[in-house]
Amino acid sequence: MAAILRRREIPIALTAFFALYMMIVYHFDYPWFSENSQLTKDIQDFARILGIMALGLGYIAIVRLHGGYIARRVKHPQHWFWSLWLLIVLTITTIVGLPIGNFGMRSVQLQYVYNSILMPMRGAMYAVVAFYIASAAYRVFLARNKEAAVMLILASIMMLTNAPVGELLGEWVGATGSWLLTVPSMGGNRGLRICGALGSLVLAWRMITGRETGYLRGAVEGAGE
Amino acid sequence: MAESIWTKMSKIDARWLFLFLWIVVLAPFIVSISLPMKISALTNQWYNYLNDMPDGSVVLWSWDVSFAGWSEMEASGVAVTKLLRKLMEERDFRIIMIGHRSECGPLPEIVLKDLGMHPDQTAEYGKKYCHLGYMAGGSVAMINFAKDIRSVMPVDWWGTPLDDLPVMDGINTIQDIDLCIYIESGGTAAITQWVIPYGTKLMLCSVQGNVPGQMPNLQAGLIKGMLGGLRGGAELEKLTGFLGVGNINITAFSSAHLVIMAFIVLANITFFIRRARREI
Repeated sequence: MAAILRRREIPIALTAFFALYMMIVYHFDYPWFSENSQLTKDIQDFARILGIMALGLGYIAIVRLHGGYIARRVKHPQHWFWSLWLLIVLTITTIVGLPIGNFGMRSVQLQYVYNSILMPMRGAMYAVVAFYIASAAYRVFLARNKEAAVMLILASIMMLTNAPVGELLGEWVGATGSWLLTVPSMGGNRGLRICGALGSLVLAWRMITGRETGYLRGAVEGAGE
Repeated sequence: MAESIWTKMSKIDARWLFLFLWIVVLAPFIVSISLPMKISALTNQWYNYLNDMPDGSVVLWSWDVSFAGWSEMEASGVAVTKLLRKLMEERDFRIIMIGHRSECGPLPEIVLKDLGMHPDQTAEYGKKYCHLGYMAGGSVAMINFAKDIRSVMPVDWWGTPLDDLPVMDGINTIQDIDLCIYIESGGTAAITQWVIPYGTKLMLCSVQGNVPGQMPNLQAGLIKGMLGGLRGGAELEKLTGFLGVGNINITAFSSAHLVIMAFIVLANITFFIRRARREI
């Protein structure tokens, strides 16, 4: 029985059914077969529940992974203590977020974790990127050929357009930057979007017809045969 | 053979670059410098569209910005909230705040607290504005929100049922919303889930990196206005008179740009000299 349930044809069939259903109801408006029908609403609620379950699954995966590093700390001498610290912080954040006693979503403790620890640290990590960009700009942004030179010059004009200091050089900076944004950049973006949309359609069709099975990682092929 | 100075410069330790950048970015916070800043056409378009909305409009102030993106979008977030508060007081606008990621339950709450609009600070909360909190479920939740707000968000961020909030009277679906202002740091599904199916008017506050990608939507009329990054927030602050972190940070922003451009110029000079001397 377990082998039958692990066959890859089942998730492929489910993917095809739900994907085709959602695509078709978008175009019809019958009481029992439309975007507003109860079945459609139930499927959408089901999708939200699955997404939240995936969060829980990710939580378990993190605990298993880092618990394994700690258990095998002889094999991972350089970072097992970071895994221990991660699990400690994860546990504290989970406990203060649970609706037990004075803890919970609105508790002072969870707000402290979010506002005074998480927010400044994430901002700091984002700010560190600027330094790496500066270092990369020094090492990599070289005009090795004509195309690279054109890209450098245009990127410099865009940087000057975005920063108020560029206006000290004259009106031409803003005008050129605006033209670059509204003409060549927009044309390129439109092309990218159309290509991306076509690629998404092809990928979706491949997934519906079972030709794209990357999302089935872990399914047992030919089980039960 | 000893390395030439140009070769040494090309191999300079990155930490010296980090130190120089850090000093240059820090300097404007110590020595107050103000640079002239022209208000761009994009910001003017954004501001004029909001100002031209009729009295009594219902505005959905959607938050989809991460803590990391907040360092760039704080200027826009705070300036727009102040502007909406002014429109609420002077022109009877109704403001409904909502978050599309977990950070956007506490983030708007922090802004409300800083502006004295938190329910613990004022009895006016709920009469003309409210904060619904974090709406879990991404695009799927947005689909359901559009059809029936209370099916997805039955209570606000502090647990008050929406039917007990006067601001939510008569607001049941996305079609009861006159304008959605969406602040984001990683794209938005509002165009596909609200604008295209229901014709919802949408204005964006995007991180600078997303501005080129959203320009086709702006030109097609799918979005009515766009504020771009820290510069857009600083321009809005200047336009509205609500000066804040945008105008404080914009000088450091400019100096960082100048430093990066100086690094690029120096690196290219070094590169061309080394190539002329056949060192590479």
